[in-house]
Amino acid sequence: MDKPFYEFEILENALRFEFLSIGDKIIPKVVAYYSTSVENLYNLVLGDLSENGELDVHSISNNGDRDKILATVAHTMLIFFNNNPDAFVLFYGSTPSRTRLYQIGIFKELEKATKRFTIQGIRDSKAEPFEKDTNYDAFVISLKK
Amino acid sequence: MNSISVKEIKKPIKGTKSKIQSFDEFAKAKTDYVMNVALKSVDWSEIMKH
Repeated sequence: MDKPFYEFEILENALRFEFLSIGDKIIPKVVAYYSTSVENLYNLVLGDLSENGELDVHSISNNGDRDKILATVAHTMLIFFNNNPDAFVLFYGSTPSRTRLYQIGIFKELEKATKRFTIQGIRDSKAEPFEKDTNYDAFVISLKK
Repeated sequence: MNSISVKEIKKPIKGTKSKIQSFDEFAKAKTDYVMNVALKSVDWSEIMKH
C-alpha cells in the first residue's frame, strides 16, 4: 500500500468515498460500496461524477492516472473493512477487460496486506481461491476471520 | 474497409437504463444486474463461509 493515492472524502458512514482524479483533466470520482440482496455482501462501484451529481456511464476517462485511482480504491477498501469487518466486497467490471484491470491494479495494492484478506475469484458461477494469473468473472474480498 | 462509429463503441453497460443517470441509479442498476443476471447462479452462502 505504498503507491501514491488521492486524498478522499469519506461519506455516508464510509459506504461512499469521493476524490478528484487529476491528470489531463480534473474528474470527480466516486467509490461506493453498494448493499445487495445478500446480507453483508456489498458491490463495489467506481464511477465519474459530473458537476450536477450525475455520471456518464459510458465515460472512459483516460486521465493518465489509472494506477493512482486503483490505489485510492484499495485505500477506501481498508477504511470500509475497518467499519464493516464482517462484510464481503464484490468486484465486477462492466466489461471483462475492466474486471481484469481491477484484478491487476487493486490486488497489486492489496498484495502486501494479503495476510489480512481472503480473496476469492468467481468463474462460471463457482468461487475458488484467487490465483494471480487466472481470469475471473468477478471477485469477492473479505477480512480473514 | 468497414468503419466503426463512436456510437457503436460506446455500447450501454448491461443493466443500465440510459446514458446519463445519477450515480445512485447507476450503482443500483449495476448491482441489480450483477446479482440478478450476471452472477445469478452463484451460491453466496458458500462463498461467505470463507
